Amino acid sequence: MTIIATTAIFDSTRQRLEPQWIVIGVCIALVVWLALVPLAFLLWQSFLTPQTAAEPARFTLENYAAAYASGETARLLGNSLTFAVGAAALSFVLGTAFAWINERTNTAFKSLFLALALVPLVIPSVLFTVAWIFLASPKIGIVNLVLQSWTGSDAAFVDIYSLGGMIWVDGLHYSPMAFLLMTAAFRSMDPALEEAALMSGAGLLQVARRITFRLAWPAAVAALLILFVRAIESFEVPALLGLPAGIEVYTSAIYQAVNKYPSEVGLASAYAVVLLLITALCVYTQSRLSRHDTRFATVTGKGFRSRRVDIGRWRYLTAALFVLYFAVLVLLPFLVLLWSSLQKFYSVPSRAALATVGLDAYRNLLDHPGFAASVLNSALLSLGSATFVMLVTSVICWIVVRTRMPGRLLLDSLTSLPLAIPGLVLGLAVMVCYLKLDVGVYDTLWIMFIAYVTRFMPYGLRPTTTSMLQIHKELEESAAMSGASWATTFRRIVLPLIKPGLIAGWIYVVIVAVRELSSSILLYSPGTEVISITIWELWQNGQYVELSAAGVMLMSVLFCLVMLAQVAGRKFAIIEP
Amino acid sequence: MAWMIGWKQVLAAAIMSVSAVAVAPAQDEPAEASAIYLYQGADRDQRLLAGGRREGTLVLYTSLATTEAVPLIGAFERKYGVKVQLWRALSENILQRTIAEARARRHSVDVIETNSPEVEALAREGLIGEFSNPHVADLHPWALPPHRLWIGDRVDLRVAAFNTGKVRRDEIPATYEGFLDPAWKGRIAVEAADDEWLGAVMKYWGEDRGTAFVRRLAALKPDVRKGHVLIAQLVAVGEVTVALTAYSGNAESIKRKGGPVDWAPVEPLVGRLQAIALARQAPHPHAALLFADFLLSPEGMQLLQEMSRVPTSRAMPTPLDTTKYVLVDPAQPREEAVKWQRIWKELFLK
Repeated sequence: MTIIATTAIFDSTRQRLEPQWIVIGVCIALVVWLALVPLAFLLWQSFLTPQTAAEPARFTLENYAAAYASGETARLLGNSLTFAVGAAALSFVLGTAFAWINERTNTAFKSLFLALALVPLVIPSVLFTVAWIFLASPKIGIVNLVLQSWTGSDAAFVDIYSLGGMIWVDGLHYSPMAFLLMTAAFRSMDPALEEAALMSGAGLLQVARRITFRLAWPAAVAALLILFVRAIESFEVPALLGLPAGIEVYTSAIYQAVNKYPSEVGLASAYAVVLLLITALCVYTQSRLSRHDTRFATVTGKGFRSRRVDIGRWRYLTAALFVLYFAVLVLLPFLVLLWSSLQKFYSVPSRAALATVGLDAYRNLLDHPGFAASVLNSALLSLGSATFVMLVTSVICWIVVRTRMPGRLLLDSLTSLPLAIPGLVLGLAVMVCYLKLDVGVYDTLWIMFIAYVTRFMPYGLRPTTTSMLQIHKELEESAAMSGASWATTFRRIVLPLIKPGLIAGWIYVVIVAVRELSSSILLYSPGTEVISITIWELWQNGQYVELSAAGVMLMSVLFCLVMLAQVAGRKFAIIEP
Repeated sequence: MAWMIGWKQVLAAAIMSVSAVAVAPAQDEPAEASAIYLYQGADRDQRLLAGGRREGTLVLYTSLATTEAVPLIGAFERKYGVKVQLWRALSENILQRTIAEARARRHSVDVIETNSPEVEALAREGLIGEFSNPHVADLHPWALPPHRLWIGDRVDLRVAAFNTGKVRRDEIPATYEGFLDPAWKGRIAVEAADDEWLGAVMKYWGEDRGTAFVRRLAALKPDVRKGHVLIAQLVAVGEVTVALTAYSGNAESIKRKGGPVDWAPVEPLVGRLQAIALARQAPHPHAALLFADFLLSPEGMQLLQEMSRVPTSRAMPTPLDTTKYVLVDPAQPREEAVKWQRIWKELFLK
């Protein structure tokens, strides 16, 4: 039927240009342009030698030889893969389990969960990581100190400087992302099948394993892809926790190559190519899964209402699990930040240190030059780019999932590839492009908007694609049969049905856009500072307590916003109580 | 199919636009500022002030922390009535941005103040111009490179930062070789990317003595931490007892807040020159030169000193007066840097 519906659209274009063609054409052109700028730059640079005034760049294959012919790369890549697989698995398991509990059971205190689950995402990695050093370092970690005083032993109970520590911190920090994506997936799933299984006598866990998670498979693949590639790209956790333990990862090689003079962008690009290949492979896998695109579609023309299971006494256990998760993920780091934000410099909590608490850090932060302007700029950029990303990627995902347009797999990959482009290289590409192509965006917020949209497109596309796969096409077909135009169908049928995916993506992009640093650092200009730049400043100036204050404020503001949204916007599918 | 053609055209257009990037459009270039920079007549100062006021503003790229850059700029603005637009970034980002802008012939920056190796790279790129300065006689001779394309204004010092609760100041040895005593095992730390420090120490002691020193130091297996800012914080908390290669500025700022941190210069005291340079095609050349005059004047040097930076003026008392020191070579050849990196990695990061 889709084939017929889309063929109908194709046929009609032969006669006249319909408005949907403009929308679809503009979206494709935009996405292709945005993705191609950094991609072409990266591939082009990877074949060039470093350029200096004395020596122009020339064609070479040496970058690839240097990047891949040495055993060193294999070692670094091995470390990166172990770390990324571990971190992605931890995030996924935690996020999915709690998304399932939140979506499918009547666990107590649920209305708080979403807001609490999201807040850690807003703190920059460097702050989250340092908070964990203060918690779990063998020498000064509060957890170790407390355990030592209880047991009377002086052994180090936990050591954050290890592969396990790296996986723990990174996996924990990004588990809210898995939570968001999987919540969206569970929400766009008709529970009728699960109920049928329950009626037939299957146990709750059996249903979860054999029905729920099978149906959520495309979402799981999408979530794992994003988590994995992001963990490979992660820089702070490996640098701060891995290096002391002698664990070096792939990203440090990329980082070092870019920040040399002459800047070896070519070498960094050659390093990044393997990340692109991994991403492309994952996108391909997901598209194979969605080839028979009705297999996962449970939301059909029949009535659909997501329902919850009464799990009886178990609801207290699941609530306890939640409390534990939040204590570890949110409360511990939050308390460390709160504690240090009240000090003049960080010191291990003690009675003596308690005497020196004060609010100086908050005062200094608010007095920081340009703080108010940077908050406004960040708000504009994050809300603007998130909304734009979700609108454009919803059209792209419709094309990819619903049409038989040639080249749609390419379009899918192209939109997803920025995921694997290191932020610094992406920033450099955007900078060079709009310096040469003088359209007036350089030195303005627009250039950062362009970079953010490029960087976060994949995070918009993956969840909407997953949601789209879960919606049976017969709904759109009925609309078309009833005489609705493409625009009406899209606006009144498609968008509302993929709302869980849209909202999940939107929330995520808003939050991470506030933190975006690696591209912003090259693209901001005097007057267009953003919060992440201010935070980075604080870190570079050694103002750790002010930095903690910023972290505390970001987390509190985000928490209040999400709670408000939950109260005010019960119509937003994903944050219904 | 109509659609197929559209798709291909879009792709072709995109590829063409990207390749067009390689061909930069010609733009109007500001005249070279060298006549203004090198003018030595008796009315130099009046001309600069008048010109600077006319230009009204200047753009500064610096890696000086905002906590120090902002007061410095404030003093300049109050004195001359010329507004400074500050762009703050790490030295490598300043280099990347300045080069990218110049290659696209977008001349927005007037003054660059950052790490001397990066400024030297800008000199090699031909992007900065020689300028006169009335205060050069007050400066240490090594603040002036032979080509005179930039002038050093301050030095970042690598010092031993220690936790005052765990180590007394008089326990800190006078030379780095003193840390080879096994008693220091488990109490010392280095920063993960301090290959530059290693290179400077090797230069100071020569290949043989230097190599012997670093090998024995590595045998003590010092802790490695990433980031000079972090390492100073970790000294304050007590995770690190002595950081051998902390920046004095990072340690000093915690000390001033009352933290249990102090620092001591240890021979060889390794310094890295930070330099000021003026863009050859600065849009505000008078204002740019005025800023250089101010920064290198006794007043500017005094301000840096008060903010616990180490100015290059010989009139200011600094640890350089009392401890034997060595400076990182701003024009260090690439092969040499690569060699230090390799040795550093083998010894300390494995």
